[in-house]
Amino acid sequence: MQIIYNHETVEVPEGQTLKDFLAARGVATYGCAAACNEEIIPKTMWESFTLKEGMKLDVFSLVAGG
Amino acid sequence: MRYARQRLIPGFENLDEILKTKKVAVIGSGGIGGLCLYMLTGAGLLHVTVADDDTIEDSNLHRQVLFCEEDLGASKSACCKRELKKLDSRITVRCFGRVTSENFEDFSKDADLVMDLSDNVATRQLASAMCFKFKKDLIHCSVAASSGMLCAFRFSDPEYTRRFGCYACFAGADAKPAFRGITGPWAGTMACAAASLAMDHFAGKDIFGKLWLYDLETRNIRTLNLKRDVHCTVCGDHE
Repeated sequence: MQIIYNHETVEVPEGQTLKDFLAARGVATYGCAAACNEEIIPKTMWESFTLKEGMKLDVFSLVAGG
Repeated sequence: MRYARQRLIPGFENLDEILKTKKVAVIGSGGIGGLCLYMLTGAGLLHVTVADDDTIEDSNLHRQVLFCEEDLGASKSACCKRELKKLDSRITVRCFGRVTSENFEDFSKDADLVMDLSDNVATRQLASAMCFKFKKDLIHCSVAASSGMLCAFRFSDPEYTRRFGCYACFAGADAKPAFRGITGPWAGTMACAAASLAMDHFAGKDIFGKLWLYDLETRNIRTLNLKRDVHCTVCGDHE
């Protein structure tokens, strides 16, 4: 199936979780946050959050500087 | 008249009168905090608590606009107080060093708003957890390289927290952002964004529940909706 990941259309396996999706791309979860269809996905839900066809997924780096 | 131009803005006609009755507690007086405090003082804020245990270094001067060469080695909070008082001699500034769980209640005592403009994730986690504990509304503003984040938590309203959560809900308890460098204009842009958000809040606008992501290179701003994590160790459902 296809989702939109950071503005790009990508192919993902059916039923893949957000955590597994990021692991497959080598994205370290401790340095980023994620939103689906403009709503934050709470961090503890990444392991159970299942990607669906057409979802708009944004993963962005956390920043803490001031 | 000092506030004449500000009063011409619809919605800000009496903002200076409102600001002079408010107290804001700010963590950090560096790249974001210094300019943010200066802007809010200029807008009419007269009661500030500022927490910063840093001393001024040469590498600060390209972006921390309250400080100059003569201040090298001096306390940031003390120099911040000096500069704010030059802008408005009426302002009262209470200085703190590092905020901790032990002194946070005193730091935020009587504050109508806390602003986390610090420079590390441990302080940001602490600020959110303490503001949740003491029911203080909190503006979070952060920047690294060309990425900025701005959001506000209405911890004074339990219904807000049930819907939108806290910093740990989206960042996670194990957040480890990378250090990436910064420019003066990028830090300054986020400083002004934070000050503007605080002004909107005191003018009566609803600023809560959103996370604004700034791409300072492309000048795009994205708006996301915050969401509480029911398993959050800070604000989640605890049995």
